[in-house]
Amino acid sequence: MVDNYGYIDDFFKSTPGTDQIKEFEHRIESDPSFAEDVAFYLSAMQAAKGMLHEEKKAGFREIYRKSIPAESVKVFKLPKRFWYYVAAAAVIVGIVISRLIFFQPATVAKLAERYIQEEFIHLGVEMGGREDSMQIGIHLFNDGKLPEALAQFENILKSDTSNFDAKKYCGIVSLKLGQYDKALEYFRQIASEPGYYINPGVFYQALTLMKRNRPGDKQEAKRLLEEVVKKDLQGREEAEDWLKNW
Amino acid sequence: MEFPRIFLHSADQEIISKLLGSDQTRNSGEEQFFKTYLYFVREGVQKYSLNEEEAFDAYSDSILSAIEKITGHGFEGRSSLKTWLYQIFHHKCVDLIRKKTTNKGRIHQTLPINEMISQVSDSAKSIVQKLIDKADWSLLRQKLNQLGENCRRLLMLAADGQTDKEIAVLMDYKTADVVKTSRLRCLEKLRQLYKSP
Repeated sequence: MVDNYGYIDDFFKSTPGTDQIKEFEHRIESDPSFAEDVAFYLSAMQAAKGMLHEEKKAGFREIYRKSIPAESVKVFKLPKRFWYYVAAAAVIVGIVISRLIFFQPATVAKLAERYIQEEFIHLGVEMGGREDSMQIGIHLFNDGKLPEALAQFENILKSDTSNFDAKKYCGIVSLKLGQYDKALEYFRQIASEPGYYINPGVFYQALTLMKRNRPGDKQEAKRLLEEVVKKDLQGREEAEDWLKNW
Repeated sequence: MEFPRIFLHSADQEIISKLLGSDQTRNSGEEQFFKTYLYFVREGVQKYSLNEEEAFDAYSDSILSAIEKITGHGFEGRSSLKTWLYQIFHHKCVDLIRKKTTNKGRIHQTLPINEMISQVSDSAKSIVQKLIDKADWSLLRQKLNQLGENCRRLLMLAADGQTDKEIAVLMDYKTADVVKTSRLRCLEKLRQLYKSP
């Protein structure tokens, strides 16, 4: 049996020639016990690999656990009563400070900033490795090359002026670059496009105005967010949420 | 075919070099790779509505698949490491969601036939695949655990694509030939354990 495994192992670990492949196939087809050995060899390798992956995942879990701030970890034991009072006082001061910091109502511009930072970090890439001009723009965006991405999407629009996604991406990149007027123009264009069931144009206009924060922008953004809610447009959940604390 | 790695940052290059290096640098490369895009877990929670545990699983599996591709020289560098990893992660998340929504916990999971056997004819492949489908995976894993640490590690490293020469260095064997002989004996021992009642 070990001889069989030696032969099978050599076959899989080398680059067999045509004759060797034919002989191997012939043995599988004509010798059931050899076929079973091949199947067992592959099954064992697969099971061992699965086990190794689980081991690695356990290691990853440990890294992940350590990367999460350990709020409840008690780092030290205080030897004297005095230090308990110090620790208690520090906790109270911490709570007061964190309340002051975290429970301040976020400004409209901050809400927009947070949304932009969280939602516009990555654009979806099509699978299949197709490197058309849109994908190149998306790759540039995802790699943080924003001016190059904008130039790429604007080039697409030059040859295809009705390209909805290119307009949307132009707006998003312009917004990230702080070119608010340009972003607003692109978002107005997509908002006026009929026939798109998922159209974030109105919501993105509101978002841009919130971020730009010029006199009158806040009121206009509110009006647009109310429109998003009323017409059940894309971004409704965020709009409702933001309007609650407007 | 080698593609120009136009999208690769120096940080990407560093991770890839480590993963392709010796076992020690490989381990540090794996850790660096895992830590670099750890924020994907948060994305899995926010964008795909997975719970933290599921998002962590999807991310870990994505990293392991990516490492396997890279070490097998299957990453062509057509996009940045982040973009490529995100594609893998996206698919893992979608698979998880599909599993959750269709509620189809697979009772009998057929493992895809190993790429190793792709070179043989369809008829021979089909014979082996049918036999693999009959394998009792939980029993096989249970017996692997009974093999003893040394044997188990030998098989795990070999399954991970390490050569006998690399294993000899890692596990302090005299030569690659000794590794091979021991490895095949371990396989035979596993077979006997698996077949015994």
